[in-house]
Amino acid sequence: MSYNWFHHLAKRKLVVKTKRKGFHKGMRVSSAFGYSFDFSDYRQYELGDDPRRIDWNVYARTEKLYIKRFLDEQEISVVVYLDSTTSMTLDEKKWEFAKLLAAAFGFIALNNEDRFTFLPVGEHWNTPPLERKGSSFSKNIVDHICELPKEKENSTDFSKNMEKRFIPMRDLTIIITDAWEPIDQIATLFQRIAPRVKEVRFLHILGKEEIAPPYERDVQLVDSEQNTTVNVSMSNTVVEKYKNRLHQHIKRLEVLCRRYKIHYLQVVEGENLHKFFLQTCIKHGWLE
Amino acid sequence: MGFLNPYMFALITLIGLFVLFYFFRKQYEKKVIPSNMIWIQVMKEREASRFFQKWQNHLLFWLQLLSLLFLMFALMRPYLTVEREKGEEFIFIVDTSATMLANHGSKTVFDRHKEEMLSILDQLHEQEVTIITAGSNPEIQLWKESDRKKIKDAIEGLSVTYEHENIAQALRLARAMLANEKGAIHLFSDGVKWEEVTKIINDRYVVVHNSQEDVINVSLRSFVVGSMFDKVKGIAVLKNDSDVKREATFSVKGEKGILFQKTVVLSPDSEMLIPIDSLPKQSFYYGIVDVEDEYVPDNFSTALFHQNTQPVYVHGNISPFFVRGLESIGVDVYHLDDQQTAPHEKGIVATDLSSIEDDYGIGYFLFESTTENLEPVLGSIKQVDDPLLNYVDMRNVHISKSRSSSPFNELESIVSVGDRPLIQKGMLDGIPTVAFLFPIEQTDWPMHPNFPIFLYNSYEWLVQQSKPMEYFQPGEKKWLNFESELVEVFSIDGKNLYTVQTNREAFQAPFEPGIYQAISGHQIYYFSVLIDEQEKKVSSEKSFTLNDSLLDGTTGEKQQVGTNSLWFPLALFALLILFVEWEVFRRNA
Repeated sequence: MSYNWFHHLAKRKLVVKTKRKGFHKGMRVSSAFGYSFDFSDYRQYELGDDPRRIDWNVYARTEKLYIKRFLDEQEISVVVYLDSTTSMTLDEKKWEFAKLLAAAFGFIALNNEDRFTFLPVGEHWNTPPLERKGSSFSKNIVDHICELPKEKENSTDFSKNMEKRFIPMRDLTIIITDAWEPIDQIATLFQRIAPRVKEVRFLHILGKEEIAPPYERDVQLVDSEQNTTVNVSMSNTVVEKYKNRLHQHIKRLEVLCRRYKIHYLQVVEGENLHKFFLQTCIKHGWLE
Repeated sequence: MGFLNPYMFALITLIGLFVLFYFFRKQYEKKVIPSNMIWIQVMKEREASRFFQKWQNHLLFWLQLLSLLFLMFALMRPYLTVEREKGEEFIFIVDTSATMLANHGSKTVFDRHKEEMLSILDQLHEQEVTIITAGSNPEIQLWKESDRKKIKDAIEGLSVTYEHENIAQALRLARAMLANEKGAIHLFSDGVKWEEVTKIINDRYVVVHNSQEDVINVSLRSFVVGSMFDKVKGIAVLKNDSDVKREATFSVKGEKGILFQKTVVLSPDSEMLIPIDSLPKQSFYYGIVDVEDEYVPDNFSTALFHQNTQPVYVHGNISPFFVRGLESIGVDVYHLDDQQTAPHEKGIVATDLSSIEDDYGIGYFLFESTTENLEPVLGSIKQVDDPLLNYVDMRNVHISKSRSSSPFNELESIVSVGDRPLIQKGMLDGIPTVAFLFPIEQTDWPMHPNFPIFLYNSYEWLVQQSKPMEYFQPGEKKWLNFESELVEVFSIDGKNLYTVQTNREAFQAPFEPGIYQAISGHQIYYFSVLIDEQEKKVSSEKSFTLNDSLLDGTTGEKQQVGTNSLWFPLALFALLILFVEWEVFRRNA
């Protein structure tokens, strides 16, 4: 999949509600007043203020001491967890699509001088997280993510592994997964990470075949992770039932996310990503 | 080694069915998908939620139970008690004579009998049926058949042959065939009397199906034509056998159209003679009675015109009454003296018993001429049922003396007193003969009106016997000599009916009354098939049953028996259920 259209994303940035001061200077408006050129407001001088900040022109006119305040520009830290279990990697297209999504977030973050961390989550990934800052890395990170190989062995238990490798107190946590796990496990994950995160986005990715099963006649469906099998004689009613169940599953995920104040978005493999980022994400306040 | 039921090997196709089942067995295509989490839920829901699904889980159980039940019932060898007709073996004797065509309402007796036979057939279970038709000679139409379809076809294929029935002979045949004491004879006729049957069979169960009701019948008893003084004259006798008055139209039809017609009223139980004074000369005539009655075949007769009537040569001392009598019925009579040479033409010779040596006689009237050695005739005169004695009642005739014994043993006596024959008929050295064993002078018979009738009957009989190709009984067989070996028989409207090879087989006349043509070489013979005189009178009797107690002694007419073929459908059901069971098992697996 091409990412030629990524330059459209260059001017976008990730929206974070909680504006906290970062350790490093960035391009982001911080709630703390700093040294940027953007004017904020005036305030009467109080003891302890830096006398260098007094606006002497105002003093000349009013004989009162005022301090001119400027906005401070700060970075935020963004971490992307990409589900790399077998359910994600089984379908090549779905896997490429998921990687592209992660790369796009990385691209946007780095182009905004934010700190970006990428973490594939699987049973066998033990490599340290990839952390970058600066727009100079934006191309690099895209290539890196897109070339991420599949795990060689069967990989399962996304939630447990994510919990294991969880990096706390990042400004923005983006989870990209197909959520093929019992809701309880996901709930446990949310519960465990909730006190240690600031803002979480949950991107639920589904394959085309998962939305509308194209199978016919009698099939034995094998779970890619659990290896469990189920015999299904395909029929319209069965497919209808499946769709109902899937819908329920999604609804429960949404409810769960809402409970933990996590933004939920669903994306289906093969969807127009350009449209997804520039319309859906902006509409839902993920980007601006 | 051998197989008793080799055709059961056809069941091997079932094995083929198994193989087919195996091929069509549900085969699940393996498919790895990211997660079957939802699918498992769906399938669980499907199994758990629906009542049907629940029931399907138990289906195997129910099917097995059902299969076992059926098998159990099959092994119990169930049977049904069904009503079946009495008798272990059946003989149907079917009268196919013309009188069976008498109508009762809209159906003929024959059709009614057929229906009766079919209804008996419906109540048969594995009993064998033999069908004998009682024509002039009994014929076996079906021999110990138990295949219902074949019996039905045979019954439906029966048709009236117009022959006079010979019930006695058919009964004898049936009795001989029915060795089984538990067998039943069903006789289908119209007027069979109790004695007629008991005379022949009294140790078997016999059901006689008679016509039950009397029939209104007007018949054309007799219709003849002859020439007299170059004129063709005819005579017809109509008889009303019923006890109601009937108006009838008698007409004579020739080759083209109606030649004579007369309407008469016949009072109950009466006879009427219709003289026909003049008819145009034609080779045959139809006599038709148009009347409202219930028996049609006797309303019609045919007569062939004897172009060259046989002359009668009177030789010796013959009663003038006889000569007059013959002349009155239009016969040419010639007197021959002892010295006179033989005539050119052959003819019938009337002579006395002493002198019967000539070579031109084709038939004889023989008379007792001497009065010596005669014994007085005492007691009542008896006569047999014979065509010669039609309309002739000898009981009122007085005969004073007759010969004590007949010189002709080969002749059959038709009129007798005690053991003494008075009139005999038959073949004498191959020549038809009628012999009077009393002198005509010794009787008042010539004074009776039936004397010329008897003469006519006798004359006709002698002529008929000498000219074979004229009158036949329905289906009558005769060995005949024709100039060609091949004789083709045509109906009068030119339809070819059949061909006879006279050197190999006897000539058989058609069954249906009427005029026919036989063509042999260049010669065309007209012949007429007439129904038997006795078939012109329809008799009727009530149905009855003989020796009812012989069969089992069960009450009523029907008997309860079991059929044991019920196990088969049950076993079949069990097998079918087994198949369904496999299918269910296969689906569940």
